[in-house]
Order: sequence, then structure tokens, then C-alpha cells
Amino acid sequence: MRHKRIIPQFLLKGDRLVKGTAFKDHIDVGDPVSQAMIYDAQGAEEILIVDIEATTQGRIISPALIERIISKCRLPVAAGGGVRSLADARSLFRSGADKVVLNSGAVEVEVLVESMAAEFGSQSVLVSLDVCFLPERNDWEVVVRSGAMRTGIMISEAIDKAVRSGAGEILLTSIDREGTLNGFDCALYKHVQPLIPVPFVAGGGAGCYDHIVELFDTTSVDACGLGKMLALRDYDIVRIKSYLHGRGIAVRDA
Amino acid sequence: MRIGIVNNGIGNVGSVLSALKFYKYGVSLLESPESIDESDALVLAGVGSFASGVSSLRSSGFWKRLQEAVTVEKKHVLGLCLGMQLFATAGFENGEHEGFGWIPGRVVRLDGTDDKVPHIGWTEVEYHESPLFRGIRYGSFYFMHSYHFVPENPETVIATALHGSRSIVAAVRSGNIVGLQFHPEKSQGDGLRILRNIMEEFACAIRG
Amino acid sequence: MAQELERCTRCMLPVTWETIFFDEEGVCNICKNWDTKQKEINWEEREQQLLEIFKEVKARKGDYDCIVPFSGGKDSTFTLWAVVRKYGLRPLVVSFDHWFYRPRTIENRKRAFMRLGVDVLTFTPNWRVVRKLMFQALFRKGDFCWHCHAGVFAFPMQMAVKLGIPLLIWGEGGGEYEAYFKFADLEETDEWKFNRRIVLGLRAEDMAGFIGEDPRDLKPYIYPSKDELEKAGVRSLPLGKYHPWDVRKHVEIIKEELGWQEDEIESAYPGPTYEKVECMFTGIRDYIKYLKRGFSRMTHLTTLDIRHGRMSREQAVEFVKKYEGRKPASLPVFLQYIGMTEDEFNEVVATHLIPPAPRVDPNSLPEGEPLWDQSLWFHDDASMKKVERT
Repeated sequence: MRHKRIIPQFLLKGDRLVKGTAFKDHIDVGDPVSQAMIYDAQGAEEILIVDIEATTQGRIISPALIERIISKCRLPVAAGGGVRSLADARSLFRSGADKVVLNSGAVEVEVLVESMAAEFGSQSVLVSLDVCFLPERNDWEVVVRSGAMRTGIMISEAIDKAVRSGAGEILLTSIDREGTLNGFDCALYKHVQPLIPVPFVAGGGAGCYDHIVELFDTTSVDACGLGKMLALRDYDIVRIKSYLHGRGIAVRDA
Repeated sequence: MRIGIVNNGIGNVGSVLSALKFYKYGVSLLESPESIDESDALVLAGVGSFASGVSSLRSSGFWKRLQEAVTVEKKHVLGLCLGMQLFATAGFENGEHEGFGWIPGRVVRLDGTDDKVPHIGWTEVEYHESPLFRGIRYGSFYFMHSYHFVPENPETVIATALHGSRSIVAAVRSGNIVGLQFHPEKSQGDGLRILRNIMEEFACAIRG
Repeated sequence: MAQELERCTRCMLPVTWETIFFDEEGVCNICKNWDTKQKEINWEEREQQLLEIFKEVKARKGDYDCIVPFSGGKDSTFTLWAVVRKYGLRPLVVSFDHWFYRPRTIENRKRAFMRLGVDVLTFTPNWRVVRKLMFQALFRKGDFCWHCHAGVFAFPMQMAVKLGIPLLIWGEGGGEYEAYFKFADLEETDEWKFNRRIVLGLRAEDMAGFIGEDPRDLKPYIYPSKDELEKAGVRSLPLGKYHPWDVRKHVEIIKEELGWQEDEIESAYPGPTYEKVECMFTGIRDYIKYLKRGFSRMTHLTTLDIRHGRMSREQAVEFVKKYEGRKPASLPVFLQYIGMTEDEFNEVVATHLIPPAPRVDPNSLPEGEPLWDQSLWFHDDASMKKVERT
């Protein structure tokens, strides 16, 4: 049985990691290289790091930083932030990233996902979608630029396009839940999982052990991203995996 | 033993370099085909599609020099992920493309299994007793691929993994050639160990 | 309250204990590891290995044969005794002073040092920095002891490198209480253990950004790099890996040989004990744990008693019901040390509840008796002002 993956999600702002709630009110939660070493030692499956100001500032996440992380952390690294061209992606792969994360770029740059999948292989292209629930439509809308810009595109449409364009992995984050510690939006994941034939990562909202159990018990997602629960609460990967193991969820030993 | 990692822009060579340096091996990045002359053992990493891998090696002149080095001079070579897939006779990602042909076989899409494609994540590897897997503690390694290698000769397969219920090639070996489908440089302690074992094997063979 | 928590059917550890999981019979993995430990280890072989290592070390004739990291608690005191009296080594004692040593511990230390005849290096870190670290650790992890965890492990390693003393001898090697570590290898270094478990997910580089200090102030908390350690040939040896760790026997020895004295702590059975007597704020630590996880020291102690056949599970349940869940009398002192009001403290600790532990109202808890020495604990108004936090 495939193991579920536990992935610490790093949000980079300047040269420090931050955490907020619903993409706002960020506080400093550490140094990116230091934190990558921590989660390597704790036995996470991989690290996901995104520079949340890169797109608006018209640059990409620092390849030099990725290089430093790679030199200290022996886990796969998915890196993103401001990637809008093959050249952008290439510089991240060169610096040691295993996957490039596309967020605003996937939506705003026509054929970016397609050309990246053709050039680098689907497995290296992770499309990350942030969504907000619209009660009046009983549906979720994709939002880009770290929660600042609504796109008018509903989640099913966005996923469909990403998958058809060759995305190898989808990360889906509920902005409403992000940083709230109130649990994952399992309804969202159940709604879209039939549309996702590729590995599917759920992000946003985990606050305690049972949230993760509920996610893996009630949905078919392959992995979960963890943020505030790791950074600002007393949880670590070893204990989380022990708890999951005890609840019958298949995870790799920490 | 001098280890050279082929650096022609197709791979995340930094991680492999860092992993080999952990054991204090004399390792360097090879920027030009000529630099293969100074290496006793070679590493071919790779991120990307079969076609782009082949074309970038051809256009940089590495292709020809590698053919010579491996088939004529019999230098030891380790292929990682795409690097390993390039050992095949042909790859079928977006059309048919000729590989090195060092281990006859084909690289085809991971279709028709009951698991998701791409195969992404940590998977347990089954291996026979072998010096290459000495000291492995946990036995899971990180895989990230949509295509897999199907060699003609099953004897070249030294390790397998399950993708859904299908057994796929995790490692191959033939004479001076070793290939790993997974990423040892991203597989923590066990990944480092397997790299060390392979380098020790190479060093031994070169000395002996 | 705590009875609502799911607990091991054999010992008392609950579902919120770090790294625990239960099998089909409800027996926890720590009980199972314990079974392994008792049956599968060849202690004679291990003792031989130890003697070989010591023989080699002595032959080097360095200024010191080894460093013994020391606090004055039962484990480090026994370790030091064994190193000097049993194995005849020349140690340099390295002690990280976390600012919280109790009076009887200070006496225990002096007696041990005098009777054994050893050189001792005690390092006391910058109090102003410590205070900030205590708050950040409490805020981010619900555990104010970061400076102690990090300093106790990193500082002796730094000394080993700086002074060229390649061997450090620690006490027990874990395993009895937690399932964090399997076994050490080249790739899973001491720094890996440090990053994995010791530092609560925060390293000096992280903390430096939180407290806004000159990064040099965090130096005592930095684990030496792999290169530095390799160059100096430093290795760590947990004595507990080579000796079955029999705490009761060890305590008898140090009482007899070194005049080591027990003390009372706030969160255990009434009367003197040998557990965690060296730190003023053991009671606060246990109190926070109770608020976070719904159990505390009494659970831990009765679990050990059950495993060693000293108590039945039924008796244990009674003890836990009676003694767990009291507010420590030392709380006002602690609040002064860290510079918080009780409301601020409660607010921060409340955020660290670990479900499924039930939420407890601290104001509903009865207060415990003050320790005999609480009135003697050091106090300085100027260094312990309330901190204004936005």
C-alpha cells in the first residue's frame, strides 16, 4: 500500500520563513536552511518551499537559497515562487530542486504547465492551487498572488486544465482553512479527487493529529502539507507518524 | 578514485555532488566531454524527459565521449533516474528516441497499473543479497518518474519496487554499469549508504 | 479528567505521550521496546566493547580522557562516578548552568566533585538572552526549556572540539521512555539526533531571528558542524548503551559513595525522590505538560513502577487520580523569571493543547504545597521585570 506523505510547507518572505492565517498576519517562524535540516532529521517525506512575494516582485525564489538548502538537507525539495518560464524553472533545477511549484504562473502564463511537462517531465511539475469557498456557488474559486487576486476560475476547471497540460502533481490549499488549525477542508478534497489521476497533496488547516487521520481516512489524497501545526505548536514529524501508525494510516517510518 | 558527475544542465547535480562529498570522495562536476579523461568513474544524473536528456548530451558532445568511455574504455558509470533510463536501447516519451543501448531494453510509460502516474514518493525496494545494498536500514527510497525501464535481460535487474501491484525496475547492473531508478541523493541515510556501496564497488573493481 | 484519555492496557502512558501507538491488545510500543531491551541485548559483549574503548582512550594520555556533561541529577552523577571510580578515567566535567539549579543540587554537586576529585567547567549563559529564549520557546512550542535542551547538548560538544577532548560520555541512551531513536550510524549523527528531537524543532539560527539578538548571543546553543567534529575526532558515548540502566541501583551507589541526596519535587509522590530534583521549575514543566496533554509525572512514574513490577495498574490509577492535576506553588516565582502574568501564561499554554487531551481550566486546579527551598531561590527585581509584549 502506498504510504501517505507528510510534507512541511515553507512560506518564504525575504530570507525568513513565515506563517500566517488565511495568508495574512505573517510572523517569522525561522531560517529556511535550519528548518529544512530539522525536518530532514525528523523524517518528513519532502520539503515544499514557496517564496510568497516573488510573483508580485517580478522575480523567482532565490536559486542560491535552494542550493544552500540542498547542501544541508537530504530530502526531495519542491521549490516555487515567481516561476513563469522554462528558464526560470531550469535555474531552480540546476540549483538542486526536484520539483518546481507553479501557482500564479500556472494560471496566468498560457502553456507554461504544458511546456514544462514536455521539457522536464510531468513528475517535476507541481501545480499548486489556492482556493476560497464561495457559498453562493457552493464551489471553490482559484485565487492567485498569495491570496490577493481572484481569478474567476472554479476549482474543477483549473484542475482539469492542469492535468490535461501534464501537471505531475497537484497541491490544493484552502485559504479559508490555512493557518486556522481547524482542520482540512475534506469536503473540497472529496469533491475534486475524482478529477485527479496524479498524486494529490492537500494543504491548509491541520491543527492536531486527528485532523490528519480524518484527511487520510475520509479522502483519497496522497499527501498532506503541514504549516502552522509544525511551526507554532508542539508537534513533530516523529510523533505525528507514530500517532498515524497507531491509527492504521500507512506512513514511512520517520 | 576520481568521480566525475556529468554536468550538462540536465540534472540537479548539486545534490549528487553534495551526497558524494559526504563521504569525502574526490568528486567533481564535468563541464566538458574532455574532462571525462580525468575521471575513473562517472555519474550521470538527470531530471527531465528522455528526449531532452538525449539532445542535450548530444549537442554538448558528451554523448559520443560517454559511449567511448563506457563501452570501449569500460569506465564505471552510475546512472540516476533519467540517467539510468538513458542506458536503454530506446525511450518512448513523446516519440521514439535512441538511448545509449548499454543495457538493452526500452523505457516506456508507467501505464496500466492500479496506482497513480507519475510514481512520486517513498517506496520500498526489494533487492537480493548484494554488496550494493549492504547496511541498508529502512529500505525505502524516493521515486519520481512517469516512465520506467524494461530491460530485455532480466538478469540485469538487481532490485525492484511495487507500483500498485506491478513490479517495476528499481536498479540495474551490467558489468561496469549500474543504474538506479530512484534518487539516492534524496533518500536520506539509506540513499547515502547505497551511493557509498556503489562507489566502494567501483573503487574495488578499478583497483583489482 | 485524565481518566478519559486512552491509555496503554499494560502501563499508564496515554495516547498523547510522545511517539506512542498501541497494538491490537492496546499495549504500547514503548512497553514492547522495553521487552526487546530486556531480552535481546548481550550486555557482556557491550561491556567488553566499552572496556576496549576506554583502554584506547587512556593510552592516548590526553590532558583529559573524556568530557562528562553534568547537571547533578542522578544520571549524570552516576555516570561521573562510574567514569572515575569504576573505569578510572580522567574526565573534564562540563556543566551547562541553566540558571535553575536548586540549593540541594548545588550541594550534591560540590560533594560529588570534592569526593571524586575532578576538574569542572561550568558555563552560565547570558541571562537576558535566556529570558527571551524561554518566552519564545513557550510561545512557539509550549516548552520554555529550549535553552537548557540545546545548551546541555551543544555546549559540551563545543568544548570537546575547542579543547581537543575527543570522547564525551553521556548517561542513558534513551529507549526506555521514548521510541525516537533506533540506532546510530555514520549517516544518522549526533547532530541528526540533536535536530530531530532535542531542540524542539528550533535551532540557534531560527531563534536568533525571533529574539532579535546579535547571532553571537546564540553561540552556546549551536551544535558543532560535522566537519569540526570529524576534524577533532569527537565521538559521543551513551553509557546506557553499554549498561542496563538500573536507576535504583545507581541511586544507591551515589548516595553511598558521593553523599547524593534526594529532594522533594512538586509533581511526584509526596516525600523525597530522585527524579528531576536538580531544577527549580520541574513542577512548572510538569504543570504545563498536564495542561497540554492531560497527564504528567505521576503517569510517568506509575508506568515505570508497573513495568518494574512494583505496582499494579489499579493502584496506579488511584495514585494518578490523587496527585496529578495540581497547580504548582512555584508558579509566581516562575512568572517572575520569565516576565509574564498568570493570565498571559495561561493564554499561551492554552494554545498548546494537544487533542485529544481534554481542556483543563487552570483556575479550577487545587494548589500544591511550596517546596522547602522555594523561599531560597534567587531573585533580583531588576533582572526579572515583567516584559511588555505587544
